[in-house]
Amino acid sequence: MSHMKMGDNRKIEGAVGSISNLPDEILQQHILCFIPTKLAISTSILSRRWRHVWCEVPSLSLDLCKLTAASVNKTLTRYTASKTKSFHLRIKPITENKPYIDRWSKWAMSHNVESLSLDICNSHITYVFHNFFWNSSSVKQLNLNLEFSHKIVPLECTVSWTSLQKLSLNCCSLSNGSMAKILSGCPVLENLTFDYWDKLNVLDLRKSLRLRTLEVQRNEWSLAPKQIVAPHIHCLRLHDSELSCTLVDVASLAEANLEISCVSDWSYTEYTYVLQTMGVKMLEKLHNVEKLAFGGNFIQSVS
Amino acid sequence: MENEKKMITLKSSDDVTFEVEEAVVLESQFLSHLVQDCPAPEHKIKEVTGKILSKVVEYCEKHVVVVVDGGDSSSSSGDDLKKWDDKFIKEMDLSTVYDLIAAANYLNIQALLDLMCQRVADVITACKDHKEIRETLGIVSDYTAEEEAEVLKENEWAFD
Repeated sequence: MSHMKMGDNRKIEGAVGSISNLPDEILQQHILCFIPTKLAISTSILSRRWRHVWCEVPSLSLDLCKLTAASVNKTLTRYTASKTKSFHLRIKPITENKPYIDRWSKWAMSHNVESLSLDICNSHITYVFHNFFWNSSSVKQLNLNLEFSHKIVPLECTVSWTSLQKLSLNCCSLSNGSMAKILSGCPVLENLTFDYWDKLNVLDLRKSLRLRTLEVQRNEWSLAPKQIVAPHIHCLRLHDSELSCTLVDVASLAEANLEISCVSDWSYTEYTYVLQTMGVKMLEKLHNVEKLAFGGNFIQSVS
Repeated sequence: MENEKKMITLKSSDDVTFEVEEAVVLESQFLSHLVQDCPAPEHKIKEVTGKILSKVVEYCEKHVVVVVDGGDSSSSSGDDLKKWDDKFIKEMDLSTVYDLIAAANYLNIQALLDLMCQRVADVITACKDHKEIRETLGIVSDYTAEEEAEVLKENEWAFD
């Protein structure tokens, strides 16, 4: 324990007193980067001290479902940070916004963004990212949420995400070829999350030597890969509406969380039968696993 | 064993002294270097007042004890520490929080800096607009009416 002895009662020096007296770096890197961008920008009106503070906050989140492209452009021209750690963009791609997707992803890349998240919602257009998008040495975390109809990787393109550790693909329509291209371009990938499979039949992760965590979420309305080959992963989270995929190789697996739910138009007997057969097969692959968690349906069917 | 622990005295800007174990001092990157480079029994920290230094010492002592006694840093000691942190910040007024931010930044105690800044971020996030932020944080505008109109126009969308 400490022993406190009071000194003489001199005037206390060094008291900050007001938030406005904290250094810019603290306001930007430690406070404003944890509040919503809109609110952070609105701090420019607090007082003269605050006018340009937001301009160097290393995290931006902009929602085109609530904003116009012109507003985003205006905001970005005032933004002066040389490095943006995190950039999140949500775009409702009515046709006039389409050209901006490239422009703003290019902007993010030029700011050496480490965490990039793109949400392109309610889309019925096919969007192909430009080649520059697939080449980045700064991005460590990428989250793509593209609604269904996107062919995201151009055929002639090479993917090179040399620092990417965490990749999350939601509602991305990917062929076996596209997926292979992405995986081969991410040499240090550690964490992969998926929630829409579409054309992908086999998820082959044999060459992803650093991949440790795989999370697969599949809904009733989507198609699943038939096989998962992932000899290097340590942790698997599989949330499936039916047990339709086979674990071909999960030799290093130490932790598995399996949640298999019921498909509505199957009879209970059918469902139980399929789940039982597939479930037992799956369990055989999990004999080395130290930590195993199941959803309720799975336990009922294999017991 | 207790007697073998090396004790160090920290003296605040207003000459309040704190006798702490060396392990507590090592929570601060700045003090670690200071103690290594200059092995005196007492160190004056001119930039931090006694009121704030007592909080810094309280925080560091708590965090040292948990790490040492917790051994394997089990989740229960982690939860306890989080509860303690929550209570620690809840009891503090904002002006103390700002002083602690400045002290944690100066003394380079990352976890304390993060904890305090998160508290301020939470307070701001709970505000519905800039007027409420001004009120809550006690910020007085020094803009002229013209300047204020100009700033509002610059980022119109953030103010609707």
